[in-house]
Amino acid sequence: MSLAFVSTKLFRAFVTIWLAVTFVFTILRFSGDPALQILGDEATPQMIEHFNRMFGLDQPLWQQYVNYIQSLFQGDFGQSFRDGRDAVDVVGEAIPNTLLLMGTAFVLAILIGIPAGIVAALYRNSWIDRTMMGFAVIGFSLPNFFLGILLILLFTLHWRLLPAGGSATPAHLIMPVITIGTYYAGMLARFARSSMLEVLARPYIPAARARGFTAGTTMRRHALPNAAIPTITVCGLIVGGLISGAAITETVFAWPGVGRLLIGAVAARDMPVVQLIVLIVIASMVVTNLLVDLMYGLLDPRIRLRRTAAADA
Amino acid sequence: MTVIEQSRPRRAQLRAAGRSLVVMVSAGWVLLMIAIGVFADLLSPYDPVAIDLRDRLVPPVGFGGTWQHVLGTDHLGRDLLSRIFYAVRTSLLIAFVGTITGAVLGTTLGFVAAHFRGWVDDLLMVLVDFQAAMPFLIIAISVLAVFGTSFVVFLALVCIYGWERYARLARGLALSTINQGYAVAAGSYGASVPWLYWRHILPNTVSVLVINVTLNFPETVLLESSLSFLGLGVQPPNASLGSIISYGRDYLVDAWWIAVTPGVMIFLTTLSMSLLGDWLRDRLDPTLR
Repeated sequence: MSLAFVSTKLFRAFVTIWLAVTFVFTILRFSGDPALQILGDEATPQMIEHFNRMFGLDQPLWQQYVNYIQSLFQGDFGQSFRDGRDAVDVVGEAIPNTLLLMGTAFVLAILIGIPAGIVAALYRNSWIDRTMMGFAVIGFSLPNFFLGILLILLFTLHWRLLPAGGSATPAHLIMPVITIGTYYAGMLARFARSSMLEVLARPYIPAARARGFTAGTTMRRHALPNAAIPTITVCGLIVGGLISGAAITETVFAWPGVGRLLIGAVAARDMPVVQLIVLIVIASMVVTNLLVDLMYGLLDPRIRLRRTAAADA
Repeated sequence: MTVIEQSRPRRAQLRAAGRSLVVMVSAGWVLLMIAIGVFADLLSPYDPVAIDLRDRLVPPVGFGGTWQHVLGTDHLGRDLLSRIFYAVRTSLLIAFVGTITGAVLGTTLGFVAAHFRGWVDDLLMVLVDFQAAMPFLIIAISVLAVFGTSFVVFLALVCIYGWERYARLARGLALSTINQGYAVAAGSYGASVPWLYWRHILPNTVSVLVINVTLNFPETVLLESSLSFLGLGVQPPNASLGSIISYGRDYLVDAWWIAVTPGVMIFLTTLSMSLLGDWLRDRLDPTLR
């Protein structure tokens, strides 16, 4: 892996974060008067003035922007407009809950989805393939909020087995994890299968077999690495969507995570909290993409070498 | 290959028959949904926004309801069948337009990036990374907050949604295809660049793109429903399938049918589209035939 390849990717990641930060800043500053939003329509001009001074909203926009970038570098993300606590604390409380929920769901989705897709591709058109793909299609056709509501109807209201909302016990984790995991497992299974089928149709597979490699070696050395490339891309894209996906599921199950906090903060136009959450999401997304790109390079020398050649030219 | 095709075993025939049955049922459902969407105003037995407080929370037929309100009524006594007909129109319109626009936009930009490389590629990929890094729900929420919850803005957001995936996939596929023998050959025979991409690169990348469309369509439906579910999409008294589920959630204990019926509609529609997409993929991709 060449330095040029890595540094191009790093630079791009940095630009992405900067663009996104600027975009968030612009959109949220123009999306209405936070003072009126927080204080209500009956706020006196003095109250509004005081509020704006307190949060630096009376300064010119470019100054707000410079202040904002500066404070980001100092690790100061401001206080929540709603209760005056540090945004870092407010968000910090929610992060472990979301990580627990999404981590469990994502790992489950990978463990179920990818092997299911590979096996389905290997036994193409058999009953195994059709059963697995049937489940996969059903899995990602079920909207998160609808599956969540169905689970609540059945397991909470009908059988009275599981709690509908909150995060007090491990039992609270079950329904949200099923809700999120089902969707991503279905998606991954389909993608893994189609990538695998595409690779198995390539001439180098029978060629490897003809050279005397066993079926297992052909799979490991020739089929899986090539099929991994599109699948890893999709994994990266999924990780980026996890928080937005969490917003719905967390709302349905009243799970006290980042997604639910975000929806509440946007509705209340609690800008420091929104910005911090969005920054965290972007940072994690950009890092994931970076890792995906680097893995691309590792898995496919053609991409790595071409990129380097382009950078050198 | 041909020999096997001619002496197709019985099981394969049965399988093909089963497959075409599934495809036909899916196509039938999608056509039904399109028909409902187009003729919603003719098919609806009631005005979808007409409130009748004497007939509140009436269950559907088969669960204690009458044929007067086949799917029951909601907390304001509005006929759910009529509401769902209109909701199907709204949801499908948004999802179809959104999916197609996003696919065309993204694929074109992906090919542009792959063809020009250099700074065009870098710029577009920065935009792709940017779009992919932004939680789309938040973009949507912020933009809707700025411009107000107008239908045009909402539709524009749904159209933009997903373009970056097509761009990334199309670019990657074009890069790995453009140097293959047939593409180089076509180029050296004097094929123009648009022709080369349209006639040679696109057909060889379309299977992955179609899979993405089939994955993207349910997601677009989901985006629309999600925003409506959060109260930011289709506004009352109009209804989308998502907004009906949203208020139906508050009546789960007394009136499960408000949330469940539109949920089933979304599910069956996305399911059918996916199955049709699979079938289409098998038809479109010569390497899988």
